[in-house]
Amino acid sequence: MKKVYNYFKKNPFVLILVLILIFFTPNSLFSPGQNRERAIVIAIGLDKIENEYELSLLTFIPTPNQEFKQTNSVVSGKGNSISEAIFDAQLTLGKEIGLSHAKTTVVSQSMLNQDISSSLDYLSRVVSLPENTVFICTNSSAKELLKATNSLEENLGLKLDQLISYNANDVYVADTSLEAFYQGYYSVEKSSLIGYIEYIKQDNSSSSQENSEQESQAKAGQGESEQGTKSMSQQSQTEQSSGEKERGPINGQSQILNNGQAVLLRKGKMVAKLDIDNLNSINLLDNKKSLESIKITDVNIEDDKNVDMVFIVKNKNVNINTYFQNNYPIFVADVNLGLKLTEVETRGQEIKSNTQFTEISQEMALKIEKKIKEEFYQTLQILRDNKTDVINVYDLFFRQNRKKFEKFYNNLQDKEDYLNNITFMLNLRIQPDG
Amino acid sequence: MIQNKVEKIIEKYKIEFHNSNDFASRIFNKGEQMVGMLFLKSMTNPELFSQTIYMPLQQCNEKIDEKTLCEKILKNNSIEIIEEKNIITNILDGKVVIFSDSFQGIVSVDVLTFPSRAPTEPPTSPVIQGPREGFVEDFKTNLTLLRRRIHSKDLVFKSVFVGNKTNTKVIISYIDGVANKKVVEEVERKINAIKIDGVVDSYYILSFLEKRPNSLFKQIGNTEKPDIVASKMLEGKVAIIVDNSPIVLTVPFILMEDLQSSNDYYTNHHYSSLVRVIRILGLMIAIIAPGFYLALQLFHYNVLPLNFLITIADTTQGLPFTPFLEILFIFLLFQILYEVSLRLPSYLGLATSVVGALILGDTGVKAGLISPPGVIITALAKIALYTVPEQQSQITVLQVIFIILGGSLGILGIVTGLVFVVNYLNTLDDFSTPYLAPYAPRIANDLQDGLIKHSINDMKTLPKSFPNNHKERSK
Amino acid sequence: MKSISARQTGIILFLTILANKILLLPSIMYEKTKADSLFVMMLLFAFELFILWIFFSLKNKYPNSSLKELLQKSVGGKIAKALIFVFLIFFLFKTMLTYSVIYVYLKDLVYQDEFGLLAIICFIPVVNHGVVCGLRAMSRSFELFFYLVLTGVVFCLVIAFFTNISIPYFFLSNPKDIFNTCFTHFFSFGDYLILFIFMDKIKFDNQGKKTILKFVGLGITIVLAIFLIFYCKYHDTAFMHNNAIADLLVFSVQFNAIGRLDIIAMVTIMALGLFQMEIFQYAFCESFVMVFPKLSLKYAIAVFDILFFIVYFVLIGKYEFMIMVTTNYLPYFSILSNYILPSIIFALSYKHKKELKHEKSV
Repeated sequence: MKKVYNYFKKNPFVLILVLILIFFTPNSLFSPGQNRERAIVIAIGLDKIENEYELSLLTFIPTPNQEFKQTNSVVSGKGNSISEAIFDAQLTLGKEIGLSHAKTTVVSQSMLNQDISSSLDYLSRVVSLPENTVFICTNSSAKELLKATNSLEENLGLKLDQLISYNANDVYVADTSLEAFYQGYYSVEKSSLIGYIEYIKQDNSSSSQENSEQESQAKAGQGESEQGTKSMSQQSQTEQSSGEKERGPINGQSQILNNGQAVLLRKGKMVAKLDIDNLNSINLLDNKKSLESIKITDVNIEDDKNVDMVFIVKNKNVNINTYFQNNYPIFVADVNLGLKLTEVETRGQEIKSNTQFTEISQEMALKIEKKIKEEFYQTLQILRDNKTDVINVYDLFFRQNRKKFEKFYNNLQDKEDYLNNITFMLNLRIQPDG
Repeated sequence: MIQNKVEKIIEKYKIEFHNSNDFASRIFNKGEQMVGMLFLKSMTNPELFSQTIYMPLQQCNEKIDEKTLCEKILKNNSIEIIEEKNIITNILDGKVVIFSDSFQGIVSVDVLTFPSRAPTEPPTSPVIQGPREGFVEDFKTNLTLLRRRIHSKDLVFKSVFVGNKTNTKVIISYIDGVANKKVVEEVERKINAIKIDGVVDSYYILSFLEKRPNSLFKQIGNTEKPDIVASKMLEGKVAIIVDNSPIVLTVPFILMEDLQSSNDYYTNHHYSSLVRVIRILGLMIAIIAPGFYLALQLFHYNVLPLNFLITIADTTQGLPFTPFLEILFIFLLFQILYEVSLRLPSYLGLATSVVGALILGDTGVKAGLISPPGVIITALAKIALYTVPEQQSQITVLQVIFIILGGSLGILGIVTGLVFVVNYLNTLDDFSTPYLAPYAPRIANDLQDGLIKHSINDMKTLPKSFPNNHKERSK
Repeated sequence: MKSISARQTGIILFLTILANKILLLPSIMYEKTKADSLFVMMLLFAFELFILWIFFSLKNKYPNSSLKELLQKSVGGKIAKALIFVFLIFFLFKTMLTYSVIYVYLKDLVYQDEFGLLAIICFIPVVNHGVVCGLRAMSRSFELFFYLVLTGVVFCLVIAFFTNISIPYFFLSNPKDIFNTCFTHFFSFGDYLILFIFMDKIKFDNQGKKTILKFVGLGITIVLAIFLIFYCKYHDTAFMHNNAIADLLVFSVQFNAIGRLDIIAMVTIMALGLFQMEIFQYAFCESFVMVFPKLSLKYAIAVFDILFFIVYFVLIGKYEFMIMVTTNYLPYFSILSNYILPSIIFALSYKHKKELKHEKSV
């Protein structure tokens, strides 16, 4: 004993190692590992049905295989509060849930009828849902959407978060993440924009959505998927083997429709839905976003009349200025568009080669300008009506004319309605490119 | 029975050597003169003995006295007049001790021979381009190997005998004017102070030279290659050569030495720099990888990227072992294979690697006993260990410690463990040399031969990380 | 005596600047002064440089004497001990603060569980060992880890540039708010006081002074850069992100796809926290030995550990309480320790110099 004491006195740090071996190692030695103890959640869905929250979790179920295939399943829990719903889901799973790998958060439109931030706040602060998760909204049920995504992923290898990332990069104004939502929510503008994915449940496989689907694929850039243009997101709904409570089979076909729509939120509540044209109008003011095509109809070229033409924006240069005229704020956006003609369609006559038109005639330019301006002012009206400033007007004025703007802003009766008191001017310069 | 002087002496030493089988004596009668000879059969060359001692004695017609013996009979041999008290040492050194009743002196003649191997390339540090000689067990050959490389009168060999029973010759070697005198004196003092029955290999005296003999970390450099020792001596280090050991020790030692390989000096320095960076990475992987992998699995699954997590979860699902036990099991398996392959005859070595790598590893995975990521991580750590083969034993112990730390405490355990080890290494300053020089403390001059190696003509001065007489190296 | 070089001193200062300012501070400062917290930081750093200036001038006059010798000669043994005792208390709480900040970060983000005992067995023995190894070994370790820490921090900063950032609004708060916040966070500063404790062990010349200032400049620049980029990135949601350096790495949908990068921030923060605790505990132990010269360093370590455990059960893990104590009560104390005490030492040194001159002339 004395020998042992002397040894430890000489080497106290061996004693520490021994203590670790005694107190911590046995526990770890027989711990199955966190990946077996916790359910790895990949996507979360939030629904509210008659004052009851339903939390759906797209969970990864580890299965021993050599192909390293990801097997997921949707599990849901219900409760009067989110914490109860989580607890319920945990009971179903028999595991604690781990949200750190959640890549997507889906909320149903009904959730957005009231301020969503309090529900999300619980998830991100208490259960540590990462703030860089993709945050989107769906029309009907988040749970159904997650189920459909799961099958989509299994059948086509198409992931929802990839789809949304594409949208976020090229279609939406900014990231459609939880953090982006919060940034909008806590800012002076109090408005944010989140992605919108439509879920369509059908009794039979119909082709009524075919056209819009085709369109959506062209926009989402996923047209090269195996199923061609027809059913990129059509699949028969198969029930997953999981600890799911509701096992009722869902008959028929369902679709996930990504047509680049977005939802406008003000103070965490949904106020309007923007379609792709509205988003394009907003994007017009952003130098970084350039994916846009402009179609004009009934153009007269040489002998042909009523020709339809499609241009794509090859380059764009936006210069935004704000100034005050008689203490009245004016927002001027000078947009230079370099357009390239890509398609020419004549009505019933032979198709002309687009290489014949390198110059943009005055008529074309006028038509393009008219179309763009119409859409822009239309979108602006939506923003004005809903007092949602997602084009950062406040920010621009604050930075460029801070004192005058503060004075103007403080004198407003309804401070939130500043968009209506600002004059917007859009100057377009159209020139051919390429 | 009346015995004369010669017979008496022979009888005395027979008893001293306990009638040992290889102890031999010869009596040569020349008229009334009687010449006695004592030697060890195992240490002397019989042909040389008869040619250089016995035959000249026979052919000599003069009266044998000390003078004739030394100047005429044994004139071509290395001879020495010794005192009686040194007879045993000389016999043990493989010399023939000659004495007679007709003269007083005792003459010792060197006809030493013993089996020794040629200086071949050592298996532990082969080079692609560069000298392939290695030290052998015979210290004389070793000294020759060094002398051949340093043609200088300043190269000093000082010998000390260590071991009550073995009386082993230990040679302290340095270049006078380059090596720091204090270091030489300290080495001499430490070696002279050694009280031990025997020194079989240089490792025996290594612990006596270390300031902290109980430390896990190596504080004395060792090598089997004369070119490395020569270059270290040129930098001002002191080499300790022990008879019967092909391993030569060098002091002072810094960790950086083990990250440098002799290959680095015989190839392009850009390549050497790359290799050194890879070596330090290998070292880190070897120490941390298994512990880190365990920490991620047991404590920080949320840090793993999803795809990697899915692979791990899929492969570990349904395994009978927990992650900790699995890593320990694989680690043990590899260590057993390593030990076995070291000791097995070479023709069986291939069979072990086949059994180990293919059958145990692959079948283990297929049978669902161990997971592929576990095997990969442990194998990686075990292989990475050999990027710095000189540190193999220390790293293996550290691997186990870091597996325990990572598995029991998570990443925090690993980080604190690393800081602990570095703090400890920084307290090691044998011979006033910081162990982690030239990085802690940073010695700008020596960074030229640090992880990023400069060309030889850029290294104008001797290293300043350890004490030496700072002289210019090149102009 | 085992002394440390100018470079090592510079690195110690660099690491102590970083450790407790890059996690919680940007977030809690934002609540009051928004992005103007950057100016608060500049002001506080100016105070910090004042301490450094005092240290340099002391070192100029008395290159070899220790704080105790200096004070003893000017005010006598007892008052000297009392003054050093203030430092002792300061360093104890400083170590506790560092530990608390790191603990909260690790608990929330890394271990996601209570891990009190685990954290203690990880930190305390290693920190104690660092103190046992001594200042020289410690500073050598810092030197070795310096580049790793620097790489980690710069990596976090660079990654932040790959996400959407925009300059925040400045000049939103009035000077009163700025000074108030400045006062509230006094205790998070005063790291340079460690220099006084082992002033006799630092050896440098004029060139060395420049080296020290270079590292101090680098440290201050990095802290300010982290503040700026953090605010550029988070704007109005800065209050939600309590771990600035780690949060710089997240919030981007793109990076979510690559995988988790916060392991780099995690390791950097752990190392930084450990180093700062080591250096503060060392300062505590040194001042302890100065106050109680009959007791050795081992006793000092034991006393520290006992006090640590006592305070631990009152403070740690109680996040709100910790912030409350640090921002409400400790600032008053730190006015004394950070600013009044160095000024007194400075004044005394002048007095002492005059006396010396007088003695010489007599």
